[in-house]
Amino acid sequence: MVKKYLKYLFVFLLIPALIIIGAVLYPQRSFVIVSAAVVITACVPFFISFEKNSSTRRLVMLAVMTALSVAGRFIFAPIPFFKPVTAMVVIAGMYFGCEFGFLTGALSAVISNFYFGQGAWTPFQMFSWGIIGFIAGLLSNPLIKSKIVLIIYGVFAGIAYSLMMDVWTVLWMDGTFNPERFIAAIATALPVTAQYIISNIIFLIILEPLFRKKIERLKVKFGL
Amino acid sequence: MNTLKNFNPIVLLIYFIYVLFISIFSFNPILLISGMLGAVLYCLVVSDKRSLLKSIAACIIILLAVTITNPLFSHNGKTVLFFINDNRVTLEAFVYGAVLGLCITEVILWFKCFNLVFDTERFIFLFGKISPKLALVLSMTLRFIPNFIKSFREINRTQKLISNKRRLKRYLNSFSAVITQAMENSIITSDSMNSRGYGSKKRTFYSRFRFTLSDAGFLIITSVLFVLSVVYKTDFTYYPELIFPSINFLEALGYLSFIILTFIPFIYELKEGIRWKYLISKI
Repeated sequence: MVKKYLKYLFVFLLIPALIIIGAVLYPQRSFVIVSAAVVITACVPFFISFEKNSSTRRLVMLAVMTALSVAGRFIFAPIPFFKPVTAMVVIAGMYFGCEFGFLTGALSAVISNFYFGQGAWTPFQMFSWGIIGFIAGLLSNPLIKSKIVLIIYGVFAGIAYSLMMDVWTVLWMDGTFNPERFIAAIATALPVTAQYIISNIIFLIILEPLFRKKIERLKVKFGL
Repeated sequence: MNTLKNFNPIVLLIYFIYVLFISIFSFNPILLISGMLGAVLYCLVVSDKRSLLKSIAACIIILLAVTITNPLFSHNGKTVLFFINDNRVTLEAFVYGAVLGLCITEVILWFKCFNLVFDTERFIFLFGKISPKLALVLSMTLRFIPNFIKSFREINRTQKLISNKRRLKRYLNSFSAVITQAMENSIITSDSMNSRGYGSKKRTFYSRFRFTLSDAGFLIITSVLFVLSVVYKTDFTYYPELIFPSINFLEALGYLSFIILTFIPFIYELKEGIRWKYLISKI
């Protein structure tokens, strides 16, 4: 019991302490510290609530969805611009709920970086994909009902992911938010963003009915 | 040979946090260059030369690109060199860009070292400390990925023989089959786990990593060096005017601490290498 509380204390004290120490010692770079800390602390509540209440089925399903999204990245590697990760995260969020969506996104980021290399961007990637999954969970009803909303969300997710990573690039480079550099970053990332958007739309249109059918089938077969 | 891995992953993680913390936030070119040297020397001993050369080439390109483009985004600074479209291009912006480039490349190199030390096993151990359930998810996922890719290849190969669909269509069909298989298996797996008593009691973890005396030594040494280099740090000012602080005894101590801190992996690896050779020659 004591150990358990120590763990939470560690997380909730260590990160604020890091922010304060960082901001006091390195005032020029305080934005970077704060943004990193915010991104990391944002993940913690999800981890804790997953730790506390999650059935075995949810646990295994989370592993499967995460593995599918990362494996999809390898499987579709020969076809250029086809990255199903975001689409898978959105589907996970809309069918299994906010928390599940967030965790699928965050874990997909960590695990795909096992193969492509961890970096200072890992926490930001975790957060960005996590938030995309989380919002998909919030909007689950309209997303399931209407194809148009789904496509709009696919476009939004592509842009949002790019923008969030650009914000982080700018903060990291200037220590403050420099609008000029932000615009330049968006401009240079434009082709990549376009690819994200297109592949999100294609995958969402193709994968979403597949998942709907399969989940329905599971419900009938196993009586969930 | 990578003997640094023998330390406890928690101790190693703390070490990397120390180095990255100072590297990311200090913006001090002397520290950054020292950090780069430490990382390059360690990679030279541990990793293969080709990938190191590739990283260094990428780093040089980034360094140049950031140095040259920074004055376009930042017009602060006292010393105006020339004008482009009525925008001032200043010496300070160039210098800031160079230091920024150093900072980015230094962090890239340290993450290269990080990836050399932290394999999936160590990652799962660390995650298991924070959240045992997520660690289980992580290790299951890592097992599923090669499984899924393998079954995708099998299905895809068969599909290729029996139908002449276009590649994209065939890929999607095969992927869909993998999804069905994976999702149904997940239910079966979880039922099987439940019937074997998963979740009925607290899960215990087996790990190969113990906290030994040498881990304690490593932790204490690195912590002392970290504190010294943070307390006796020197601040460089870039805007509006370049101010390079003079170094007295205490600041020199701060610099020295960080230099030792970043050279620890290299020194340790070298020491172990020498010991290994020495022991062999005796047999």
